[in-house]
Amino acid sequence: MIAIRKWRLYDYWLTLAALLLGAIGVVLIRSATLLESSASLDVIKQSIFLCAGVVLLAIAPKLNYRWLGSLAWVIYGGAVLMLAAVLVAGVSIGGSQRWFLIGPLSLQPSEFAKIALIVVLAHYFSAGPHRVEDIRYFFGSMVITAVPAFLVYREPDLGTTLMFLGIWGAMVFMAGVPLRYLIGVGLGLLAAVFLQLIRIREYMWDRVVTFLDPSADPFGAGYNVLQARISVGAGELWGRGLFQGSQTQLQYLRVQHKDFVFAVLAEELGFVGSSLVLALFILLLMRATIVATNARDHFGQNIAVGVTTVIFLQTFVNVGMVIELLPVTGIPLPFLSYGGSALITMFIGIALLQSIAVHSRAKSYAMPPVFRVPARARLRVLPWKTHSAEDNARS
Amino acid sequence: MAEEKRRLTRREAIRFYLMRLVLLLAFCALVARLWYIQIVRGPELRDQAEDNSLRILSIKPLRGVIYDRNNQRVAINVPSFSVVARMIDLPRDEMESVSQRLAALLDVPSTAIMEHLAAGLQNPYLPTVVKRDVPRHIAMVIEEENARLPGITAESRPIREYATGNSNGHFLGYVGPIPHERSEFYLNRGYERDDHVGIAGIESVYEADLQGLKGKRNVEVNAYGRTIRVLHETPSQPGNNLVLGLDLDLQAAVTDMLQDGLDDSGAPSGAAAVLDVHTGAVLALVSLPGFDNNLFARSISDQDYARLANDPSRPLVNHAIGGLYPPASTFKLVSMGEWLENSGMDMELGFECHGSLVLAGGWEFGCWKRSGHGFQNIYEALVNSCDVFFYSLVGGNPYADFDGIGPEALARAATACGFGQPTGIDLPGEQEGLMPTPERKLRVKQEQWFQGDSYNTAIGQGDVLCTPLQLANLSAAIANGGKLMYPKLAAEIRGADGRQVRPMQSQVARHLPFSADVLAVIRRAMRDVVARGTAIRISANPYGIAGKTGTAEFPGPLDEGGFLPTHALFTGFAPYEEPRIAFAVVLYDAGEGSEFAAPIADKLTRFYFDSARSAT
Repeated sequence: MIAIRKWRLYDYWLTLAALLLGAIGVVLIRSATLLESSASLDVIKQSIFLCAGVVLLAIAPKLNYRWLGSLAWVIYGGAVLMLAAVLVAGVSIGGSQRWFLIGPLSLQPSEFAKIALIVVLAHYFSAGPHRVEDIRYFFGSMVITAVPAFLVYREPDLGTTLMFLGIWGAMVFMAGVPLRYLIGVGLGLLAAVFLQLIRIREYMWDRVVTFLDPSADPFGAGYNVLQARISVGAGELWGRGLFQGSQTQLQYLRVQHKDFVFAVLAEELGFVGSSLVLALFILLLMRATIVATNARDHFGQNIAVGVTTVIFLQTFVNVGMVIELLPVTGIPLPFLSYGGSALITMFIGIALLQSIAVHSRAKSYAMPPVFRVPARARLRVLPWKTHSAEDNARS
Repeated sequence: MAEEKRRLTRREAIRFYLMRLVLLLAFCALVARLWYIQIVRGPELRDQAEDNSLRILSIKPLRGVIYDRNNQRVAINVPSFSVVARMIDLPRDEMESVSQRLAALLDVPSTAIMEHLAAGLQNPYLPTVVKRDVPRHIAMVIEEENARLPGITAESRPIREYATGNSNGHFLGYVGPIPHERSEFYLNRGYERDDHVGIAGIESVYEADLQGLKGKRNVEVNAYGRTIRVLHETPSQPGNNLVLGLDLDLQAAVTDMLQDGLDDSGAPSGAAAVLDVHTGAVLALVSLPGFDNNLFARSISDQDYARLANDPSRPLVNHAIGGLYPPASTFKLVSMGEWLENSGMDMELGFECHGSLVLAGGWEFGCWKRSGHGFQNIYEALVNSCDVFFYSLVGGNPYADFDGIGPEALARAATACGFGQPTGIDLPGEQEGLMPTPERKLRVKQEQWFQGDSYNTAIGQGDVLCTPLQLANLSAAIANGGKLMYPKLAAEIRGADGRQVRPMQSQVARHLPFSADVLAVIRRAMRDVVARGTAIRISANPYGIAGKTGTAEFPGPLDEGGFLPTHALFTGFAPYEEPRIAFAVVLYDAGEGSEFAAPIADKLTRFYFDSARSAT
């Protein structure tokens, strides 16, 4: 009975959109690496991670997100430790120390830390609006975010740092924090950014300059931006055909199967193809907001908001970068870019949404909107076996 | 126990509507921007994509081969690889890593490679040569590391290989990258920055013939500059071949003989020229010390170049055309001709030689033979090279009440014999020499012309200077009946298919101001110089060699006898009866012309007429 009810509430659109995007990603990675000797290896890796994602989505209804609440601080602490460890023991690629090497795989803790931050903030804000208006409470959330954000900034990884701040901003806003706090922080950040611009790292500054005028330095930092523009434009309405794009196949773009995979899509499948992919993202994000509004508690709602935010921000920043709306930041395109950590992180996010969706119906909503597991029960009992009993006890 | 949905508060609902609105608007912005790039600017950007990948590469033609008169190959092309950079394919932030990798592969400091790459940025579409003559296995590695070395290719660029010979570098020159100071000249003539051109010698004079026509190849390239597909090709046309009048075997033989002469006499440098008396064709043109022009063809190292450039005997200078020496006694040929021509063949003129001539005021002008020649008529004076006679002939003799022909008349004759002007040989770097006159002395030195100047000039000393080639050319003109030819290294231009494109006509530059009778007397006297005169040392030569010795004093440290150091000279022709070749041999600071220069002339005529080449 329970199992059937869960699958009834399962959001098939969400899964469909995520898997379609992942599959398109594998095809694009195949195209982008067609002429490279290591091509098939990257495609196989990405396919394996995609399969892992399918498994995650399949078992998601079996897992109740709510026990994450009791583990939120543990997860958060683990993530912070990993981020600290990567600064000490990680490998540095291209001047940035972001990865652990584990055999043939490289693990990027900052990707998983996004989920950790979402969970901890969701837990933190699930106390309810009466605490949200307390400014100390608001500052507490800033501190929670600032710790991992600072560690990521030190890698350095400006894009992911901004991503953390974006997650925080959206979650704070959606949790109902008074707008004036947010505006105040916004102004403060602007001032900080302005101060930072004075002593910013060169590669970051290059990106800012490059964004403002990529053709000023066609063989330097602006190279990829210019080549991306040419790739996207050359796609025109219908694209040059899968595996047929000269920009892609002749490798004019660097990192084209990673951060610039959207340019491959735009060149080979054209305006039609890229618009359809954007439509898939919209479908996915709209379903995610519906999961949020349908969540049975604030914890779930907040997680859904966080996941929605991270997928949206990454998509917007990445696509915006490729089509020159935004400066170049090393943010991968969710589901499509090559990269195991990023793909798995995205599927964990979708799995969380599914878990929230299938658990969105409580037997009664007479209970207070904030659900809190008694401290004694937290680690002892598996939540999905006990929650209905507890609900009954409370109601 | 009915399941219900949780209700959102009104504020929450508004926030979610707001969130969805932001999402939709953001995606609308993305789609709008995509529309702008892909639909509005699409056609223009698709053109750019094609520009990116479609290139027109130029195909370098093969340079023409240079042959000697017996079809021996003097300069050929051998396969070689050059590492070439096209900066259009090399993003600037990868320059550093690329140059480091190349430095390791090519064993060149990465700073030097960075310099080449930086130079290439001036026109990123054109290739820049990073290193020439790279071993094949390195070239293969570079091709394999395509993705690691964007914009870098190893291309087959044949280089020149020259017939080995210590003195071939001077007349052949070499081929190399366009010199910096000449780049505008060449670029205006359709050359590309990475082209090679003839830098010196024949290679530079006949550049236009040897160079060939570039081809074109329309190709699709990948982002690393590798050709993926050839769309269209216009083949290049190889340059024309050049056939020289030069005899490579004779050149080698004369080089050896001159080298032996230098070794025997301890002279630091020397030169020799051998001409065909009828055509002016240069049969051999030797200058020692020489250099191996293959060093230059393979891009000479700095220390090799410094060694050559700083050598005091100046191996990089072709002494045969660029070295200036006093003609000394060989100049007496001109004085003799001038007297005979203008006196109606007065062979009776003669003076008493007591070993010296003393002018009023005590100036004494010595004859080389201190004991004196006794009475010498003009013919015997040439055979014995009597200095006193020629002092008197030109500057006058106070004891014989003879005024002399005067320096102006001598200078006119000498100029007509080719002194003081270039021979017009098809080589760069020729010196014109110097023929002094009273007018010139006043103009240049602001000094009066003295009788002593006439005396010095009469025996080819003083300010008179000439090149060995000028001497050889004068002998050729005397031998052929008075035609002063333009000496020519090239004999004909042939197409790559072997057909003649253009012959090099032999050209008469001017006629000697002497009649045939006068020339016949001079030739006979030159024959007697060898038979019984100053060059009796080589009288055993069976080929009728005729010539004139010269021992040129030049300012330098005196020897133990208190004499000035001397260059050894000999010029002449052979055979006497039917002259075929003319020559001049000069050994710097060697000593007597009869002792050191004449034997080389002897050997070279023997070599020339002994071998089968006398029949050709």
